[in-house]
Amino acid sequence: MSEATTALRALAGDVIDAGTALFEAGGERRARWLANAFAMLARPAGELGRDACKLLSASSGLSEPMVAWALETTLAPLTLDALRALEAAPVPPRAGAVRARPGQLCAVVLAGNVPIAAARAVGIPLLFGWPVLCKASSDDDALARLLEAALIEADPTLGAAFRVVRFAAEDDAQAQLLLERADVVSAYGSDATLQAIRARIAPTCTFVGHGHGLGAALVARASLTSRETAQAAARGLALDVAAYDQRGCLSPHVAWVERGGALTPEQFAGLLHEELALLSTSLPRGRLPLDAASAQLSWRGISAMRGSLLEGEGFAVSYEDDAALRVSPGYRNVQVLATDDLTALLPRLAPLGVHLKCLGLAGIEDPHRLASRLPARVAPRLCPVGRMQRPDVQAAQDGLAPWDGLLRWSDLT
Amino acid sequence: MTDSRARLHRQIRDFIAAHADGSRDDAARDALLCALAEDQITHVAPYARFCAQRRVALPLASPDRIPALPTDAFRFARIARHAEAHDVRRFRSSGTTSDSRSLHALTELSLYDAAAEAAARVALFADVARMRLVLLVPSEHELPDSSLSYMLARFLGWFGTEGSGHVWPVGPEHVDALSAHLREAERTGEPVAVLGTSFALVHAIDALAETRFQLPRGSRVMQTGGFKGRSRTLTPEAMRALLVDALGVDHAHVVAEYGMTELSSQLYETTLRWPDAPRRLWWPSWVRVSVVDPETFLPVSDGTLGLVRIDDLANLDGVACIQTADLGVLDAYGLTLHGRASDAVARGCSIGAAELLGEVRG
Repeated sequence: MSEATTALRALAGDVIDAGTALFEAGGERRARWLANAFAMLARPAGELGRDACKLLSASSGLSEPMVAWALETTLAPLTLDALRALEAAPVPPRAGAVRARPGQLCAVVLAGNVPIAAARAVGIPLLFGWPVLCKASSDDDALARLLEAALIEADPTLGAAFRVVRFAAEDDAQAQLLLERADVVSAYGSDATLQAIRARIAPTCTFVGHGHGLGAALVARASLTSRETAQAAARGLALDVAAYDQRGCLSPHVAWVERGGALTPEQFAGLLHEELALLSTSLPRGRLPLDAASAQLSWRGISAMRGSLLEGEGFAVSYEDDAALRVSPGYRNVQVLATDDLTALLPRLAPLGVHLKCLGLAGIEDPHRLASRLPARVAPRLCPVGRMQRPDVQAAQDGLAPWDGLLRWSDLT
Repeated sequence: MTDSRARLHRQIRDFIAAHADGSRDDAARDALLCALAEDQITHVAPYARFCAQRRVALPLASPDRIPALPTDAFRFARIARHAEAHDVRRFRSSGTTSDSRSLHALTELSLYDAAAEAAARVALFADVARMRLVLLVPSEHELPDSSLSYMLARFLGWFGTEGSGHVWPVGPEHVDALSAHLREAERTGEPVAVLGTSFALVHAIDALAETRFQLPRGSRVMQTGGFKGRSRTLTPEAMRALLVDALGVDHAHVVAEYGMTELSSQLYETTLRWPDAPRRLWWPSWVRVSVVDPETFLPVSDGTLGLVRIDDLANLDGVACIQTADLGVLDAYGLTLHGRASDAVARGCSIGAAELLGEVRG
């Protein structure tokens, strides 16, 4: 066994040992601990908060204003009250059922560095009393490390129940070690990554997979009754596109816009362009890697060939009438498509399946009815445009409760 | 043919003929490229729309001002100045569905042939009029939409001796046919050229197992294309080492060819023709190669990694200026490729087009 795997084995043992104190601390103390840690990172005036902004910008490639926005919108809502409510939210399957003690270890496998994913991915298991050993993205562990520091500072005893490791994806020995003692594995990544992880875990281990995904927006003609209403919808959608430079699984890549409003879908595309231009100043896009630039060049070229391409500084809106969806490379490239009827469009979302993570809505009078008409296994989060990248702490993730896989109940019958 | 097309065809044909010996006249090439691009902007509708969005100002002063069409565009639209009824050949890229395959439609093949023959003569067969050719590709009758199969079939006529032929498919069941060609070359002492895709060459070497050949001096291998998931993947250096070991050819006589469905011309590595120079990709005189910044579209300085752009005068019937997704570096000796820009972009959790199957139409 190599030195690295010996160290990992010892670290896993330490985290598991710290789980007793974590569980016995109770939900209130855990909620307070996490709230304090998140607040440290969200506060730009504090040392950790200052470090967070700079480090995360450098490691993720997001601009510092974008990181500051991300930290505030992601972490600031994770208040003591919100975390208390989350911890108390799960309803037992039957009255009187007793929540079982968490298992010995939750292994969290992160992908990429989009702050939303890491904070929830780590925070929720800890809140429910699971000690967590977290494998950060092999490319970037900045946020995970900052969380680790904040959690230790907020409470050294409870903080011992969370540790971050980082190793290459190809390191089979360490991957096996990470997983072999886990009772729950919460993994983020591509379908191929999730499949590979799932194949390694024991039959008694619960696997919770969060695959790659995308968002989309539905803009009904009811939101296009005037330039003002349309501009408001465009403003909200622009923020959803710009956030995290469109790199997250909630990021919208397409907006279907209904014909028949006072403004046409093409005019809406123009408004979206205007709003993205404003955000390019206040929340500038970060650096564009060469691979992404190549994909962007190709995607935009096809847009220019087939429809209208509205480009700006670090963003583009493609209007292609009722063409097919073309997933963009992200980095603030969004497609606007026209449709006669949003309701009739819904069955055609089926191919997106579980990968459709969020639908941003504008002008939809009855979102419940719309949700009920989604095709099988399409269970995105539905929210107003402008809120796509700001899920509530209790929001379902991939159609499942945030505590799914983490809780078991002893049924007393 | 329209008058402008006829005129351009004549000019390009004459340019290729004048520089078939490898001589260069970049100023004349660039002027002809600009004239060709202006004509294509007029006659190739999808390209016209593309250039309109780019706000191209005519006349074009230099090739850097000509917008290069991304290769992906050939999957989404018919890129041709002529109607489908006038197609004499349709080349398609490999791919699993018709939606994912590029189409290059040609109304005649004389420029394609002239370009292919002249470039291969300079880079691959400068030292010999004809030799035995062993082609590890399907025949053009088996795969009529393959530009590689078409080109190598022409090679048989231009450069091949009696006894040349195809060995396809390539695998343990057909290794005897390949061995027969190579043993005959060893017996006669006459050099042989083995030409094929990278994955076919790997299959061939694997099928030969422990068998080794010492091919006569002057023998050569032309490899092209990637492994496409159809064989194990090797670095260029490892691939050359494998071929040298298995076939006994000189290291400098393993020559990579760079071509694509969307182009009519090919690039070749330099080592066979110019063994004293560093190994680079060479391009013929009617082709212009640049490496560009994908955001500004402007050429980057030598030594800087960027996206490879190919401007091909022989692409008369489509679009001459093509933007690839290949990464490369230019220097004084030529072009070095550094793989293809990946669709698996380093995002957070956002799914990429390649991961997401199917399309949703509104």
